[in-house]
Amino acid sequence: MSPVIVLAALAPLAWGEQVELAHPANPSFARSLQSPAPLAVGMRVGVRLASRRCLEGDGWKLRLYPLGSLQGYEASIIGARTADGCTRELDALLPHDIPMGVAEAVLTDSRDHSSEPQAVRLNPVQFALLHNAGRAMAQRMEGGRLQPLSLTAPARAGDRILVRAAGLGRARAEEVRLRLAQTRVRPLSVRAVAGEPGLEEIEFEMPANLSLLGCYVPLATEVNGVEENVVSIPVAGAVGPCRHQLGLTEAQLLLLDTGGRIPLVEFLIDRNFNLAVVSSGMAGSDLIASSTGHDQPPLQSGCQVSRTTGGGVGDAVYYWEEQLADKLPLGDLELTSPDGSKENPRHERLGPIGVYFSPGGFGPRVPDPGGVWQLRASNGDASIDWRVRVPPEVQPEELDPAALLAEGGIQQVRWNGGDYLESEWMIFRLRRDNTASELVCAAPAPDGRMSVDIGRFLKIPSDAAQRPYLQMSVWRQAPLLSPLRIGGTDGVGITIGLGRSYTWVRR
Amino acid sequence: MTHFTLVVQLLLAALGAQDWPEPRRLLAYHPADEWVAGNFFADEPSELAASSLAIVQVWNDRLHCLLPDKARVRVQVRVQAGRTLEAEVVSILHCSAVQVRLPAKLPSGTHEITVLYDNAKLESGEVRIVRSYFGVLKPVGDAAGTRMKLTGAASGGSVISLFGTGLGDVSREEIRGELDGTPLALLDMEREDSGAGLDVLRFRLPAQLTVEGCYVPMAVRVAGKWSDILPVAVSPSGGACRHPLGLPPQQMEILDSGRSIGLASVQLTSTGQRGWSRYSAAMTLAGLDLVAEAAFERHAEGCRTLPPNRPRAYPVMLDGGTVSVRGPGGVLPPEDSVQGALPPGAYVVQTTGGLDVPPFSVQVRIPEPPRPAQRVRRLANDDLSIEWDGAKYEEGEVFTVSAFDGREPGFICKAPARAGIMTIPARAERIGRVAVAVERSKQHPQLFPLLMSNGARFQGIMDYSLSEDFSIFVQPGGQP
Repeated sequence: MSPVIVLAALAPLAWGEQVELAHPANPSFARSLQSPAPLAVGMRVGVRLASRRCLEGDGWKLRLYPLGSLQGYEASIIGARTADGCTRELDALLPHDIPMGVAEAVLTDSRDHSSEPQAVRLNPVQFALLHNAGRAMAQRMEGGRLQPLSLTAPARAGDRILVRAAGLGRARAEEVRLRLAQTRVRPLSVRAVAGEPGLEEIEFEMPANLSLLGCYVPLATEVNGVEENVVSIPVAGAVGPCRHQLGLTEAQLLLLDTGGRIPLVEFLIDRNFNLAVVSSGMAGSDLIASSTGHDQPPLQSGCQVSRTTGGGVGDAVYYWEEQLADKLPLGDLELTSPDGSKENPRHERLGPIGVYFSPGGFGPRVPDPGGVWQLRASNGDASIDWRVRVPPEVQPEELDPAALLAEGGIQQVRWNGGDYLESEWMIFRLRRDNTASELVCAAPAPDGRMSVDIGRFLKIPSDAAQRPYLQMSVWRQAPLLSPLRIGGTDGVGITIGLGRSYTWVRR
Repeated sequence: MTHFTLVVQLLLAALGAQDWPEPRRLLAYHPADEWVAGNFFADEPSELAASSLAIVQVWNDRLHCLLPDKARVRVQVRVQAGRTLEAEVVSILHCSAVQVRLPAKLPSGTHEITVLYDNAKLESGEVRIVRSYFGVLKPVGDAAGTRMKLTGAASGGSVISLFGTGLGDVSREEIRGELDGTPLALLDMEREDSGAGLDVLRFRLPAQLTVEGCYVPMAVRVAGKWSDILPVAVSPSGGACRHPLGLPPQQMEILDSGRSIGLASVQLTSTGQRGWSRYSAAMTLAGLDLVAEAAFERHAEGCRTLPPNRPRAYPVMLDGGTVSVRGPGGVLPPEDSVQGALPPGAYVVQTTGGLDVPPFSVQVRIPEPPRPAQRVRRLANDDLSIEWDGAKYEEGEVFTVSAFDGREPGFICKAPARAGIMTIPARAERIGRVAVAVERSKQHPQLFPLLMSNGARFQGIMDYSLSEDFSIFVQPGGQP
């Protein structure tokens, strides 16, 4: 592709239209406004106007200008996504010959009117799996035919699975690895998708003896040691549906697979932000998937260095294709705190949580002893009388994080184990600003002590300017479910009680 | 000194914590008063003129999309009991704010303004109408109205255009333009009383220009109100202006085309012995506006009313790794502010390098901060004179005194630090607390060259600001 030199004046910036480019693994176009969007050369990208206006007419062109250069490189427009007569998104294929590094992308129309530039960073590789609400676009090969994986038709050992990805860039197919839960899988092949320029597909065989089964088993690709995103696939050990963390029946799973919805109510108490929110609605497979999250292996005592995944292609969580439904008619809600005081919690519809003013959230902090909160509903279509335990505030005994870091080695951290239940685990996370790895240690909270391997943390490459950050928090092993029947239909109630964490940042 | 006693003292009292006021639920303001936008605790609407464009912002106790569809929004102004006028809804700015054009027949005074959605009242507030309240909305344009380019600067006799809204009912005689203090001839004015257009003022520059540069300050005064100060690119022979950051023509051409260049900015800040010190360093993408913000000195010597505190755009950051600073007292703690002033002396700024910018190192000499023992005198004409030891400072360093009490507009005075003296006009009587600072002039920035990983070159600006808070009380009758 030959470089194109464009000297056309742009519309005045104050009146210019913002354009957004996103990796196909980032269907919500989520991005940091303060960093260039990371993309790979030669990959397919989604292009849209930030205002979500229709892209009227033909003749759209996308050019990329390496920073500091007047020379532009043209991307090919290879498709458009149109609904109700409105084109909201274009598909473009980035050039292969553009120099690596920061560039600005400018969209122009047939009259040569230009958008404001969007900053991108062109990397040799930015390989990430395509997904829908966090679930991989995955198919099983059956007798030469492809069948999409679903909750009622999950993958099983020995199946040949195809998943889609984008952003292989200049990496070689042999450099790609897969991780399914904790199991490494070598792909059978990594190739371009026929008829879909700029996309890749990975074929692999489901390994036997997987340690983790479920409807959302985490799946990631790795190139040169970097995992860009983690999605999930449904995996079962035998014929039949996958085992759902929310205890959904086969009939409910089939309903979700065929586009149906089930009632869902989430009740969240978060003492870190003094939040008490009830979210409800009829939830389809997208919302159920994002409410559930990935299946996790059982927590085990000990420490490990975990990579913080997601170099920036975007966050899978904030994306739903399904329309958000109205909140359920739960009637009057009453929340009773552990000290007996009563208040009315917020009741929102399911979906992206709003930003709340928390009147008490920034007030003087006093140690939170935790306790059981009770949610009751009256005069509505559901009978709710739920209790959620909020663990006491984490208060480590005689902990001096600065001294801990100075001494290194293996150190003991203690707290009052008598405050906690068997199902509660103490999680110790230590990381630094802008590093890709963190030290994560876990122990049953009632133990009241854990050994933390500071020596392993100190081996993570960093420099003095990257401040260490420590958080200790209490987690439950599995979600707490509550019975819900509304209007004669069985649904799911999820209660989450987050106690106050202990945090420390080096000053 | 017979009628006044001057008391100069360090401000010792820490500001007490205050409760946030309840935010107004509807705020109507001039589009040029952008600093109001998005400020939940802004408590005063700005003034507006009839026919002016205005932004009307509403919110609830939860950030929520209250106005998703323009077609379902109506905005009404009640001018007297039983009589309401409809404002034209021009656009939805974001889902809690609309841009409207106010009715042409609005009388001066405070009126009730109401936003309706699906014909149901959403919120009401007040709108303050005055005869004229002009604010500039676009960068300075050439005779045809196109944004002036750095590579196509104005020269002697050029025509420049200002686009704004709120001109109101004024005559030509009430409009005054200045280019760096030099009066400009008003060529013509166009008032847009209908539609979504803007008021336009066109001025002709003098045939013989005594100033040049990419950011020569221009201001316009309409019916007694000064607009914001705007930069105008001026070159004696047209063509490219001389850029204070030393940008070569190719980089100015990139900026003129609407795209960005790289820019690094290192800032060392100290608010005095009883204050704090910190440093910041950023390597960013910078377009025309961000480069102008870094390079445009709104005024050089003398005193002026404080310009509006415009919101800063969030720049796209380049990855240059982490930054550390070593000074006479050792390595400064990263990012956090520390108690006390920065000691004068040599400082070295170093980066580790990152994806976009390789490591670099730059040195700077920090001068002595202003001392509370500056000599302050009231002159015979009631002006206030402040003197200091100018020999301690270098060319390119400026001494500033700024005051802002929250009600008065406030002012800022500047003088070359080497001069050792500054005169503040008689309005000093109203001074309560002032900030006295020594900082680097944007007209004489300390620059350092940088190289990006892709081979592109860009500029870095080394900046510092060393201030002290003083209280200067000027009281009649000789009693402090």
